Amino acid sequence: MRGLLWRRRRRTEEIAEEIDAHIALATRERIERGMPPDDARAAALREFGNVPLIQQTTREVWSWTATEQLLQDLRLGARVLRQAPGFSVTAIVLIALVVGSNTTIYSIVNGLLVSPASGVTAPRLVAIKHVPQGL
Amino acid sequence: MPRRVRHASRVDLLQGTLDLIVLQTLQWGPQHGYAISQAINASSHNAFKVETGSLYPALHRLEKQGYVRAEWATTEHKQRARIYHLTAAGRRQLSTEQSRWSQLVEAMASLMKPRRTET
Repeated sequence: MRGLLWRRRRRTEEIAEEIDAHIALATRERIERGMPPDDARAAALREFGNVPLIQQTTREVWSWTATEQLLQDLRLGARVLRQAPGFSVTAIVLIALVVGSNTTIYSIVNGLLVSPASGVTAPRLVAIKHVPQGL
Repeated sequence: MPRRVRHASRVDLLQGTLDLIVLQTLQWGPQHGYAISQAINASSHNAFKVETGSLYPALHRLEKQGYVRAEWATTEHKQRARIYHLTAAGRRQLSTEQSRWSQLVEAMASLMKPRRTET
C-alpha cells in the first residue's frame, strides 16, 4: 500500500517535471527565434494550455485500476474503524457473538433434529404398528 | 486494459487516430513530448494542431499499454526531458493500426464515390 502511494507520488512529480520540460523547450525555441525571454515563456505557457488540468488528465491514465480502487476502499475502511475505536470494537464483538451463536444453534438443531441419532443403523430399525382387531 | 482499447478504437475515432500518429512519429527515432508535437505539426503541414491536453494522456496511455517506453535524458541544451521509445509491441501495434487505417480510408472512399447507375 505504501509502495503504491509512493509510486503515485513519484508519477505525479514525473508528469509535472515532464510538462515543465515541454514548456522550457518551447520557451528556448522561441528565444532562439529572437523573442524576448519573458514573452517567450508567456507564449509557451499560452500555447501549452491549462497546466494543472493536463497534469491531472495525464495522471488519470495511470490511476483507478480495479486493484487501486479496492485498496482505496480498504484504506478508507481501516481509517473509519480506527477513528471510532469504541464503535469498531462493539461492532466486531457483536458480529463475532452472532456468528458464533448462530453456528452453535445450527449445530444443535442439526444434531438433535436433522441427522439420525447415533447408534441407529438400518438392521437395528424396527417398525411397530397397531392393527385393530375385528375388522 | 483491453476493454478500454476496444472502446477507444470504436467510438472515439480521434483518440485512436492520435495514438496512431504518435506511434508513426516515434518510428523515426526516440523523441520527447515537445519534439513529438512539433513533428506532428510539421509533417501534417500544420493541418493537425496537436493539443498538449490530448498528447500527454496519449503518450502515457501508450506507455501503460507497453507500446512505448520512456526514460529521462538530457537534451543538447542541458534540458532534462522524458524521451519516448517505440517498443517491439509498439511496432506491431503500429502496423496493425496502419492497415486498419487504410481499410477505413478505402471504405470511406468507396462510400463517398458516386454510385454507378445500372440502367
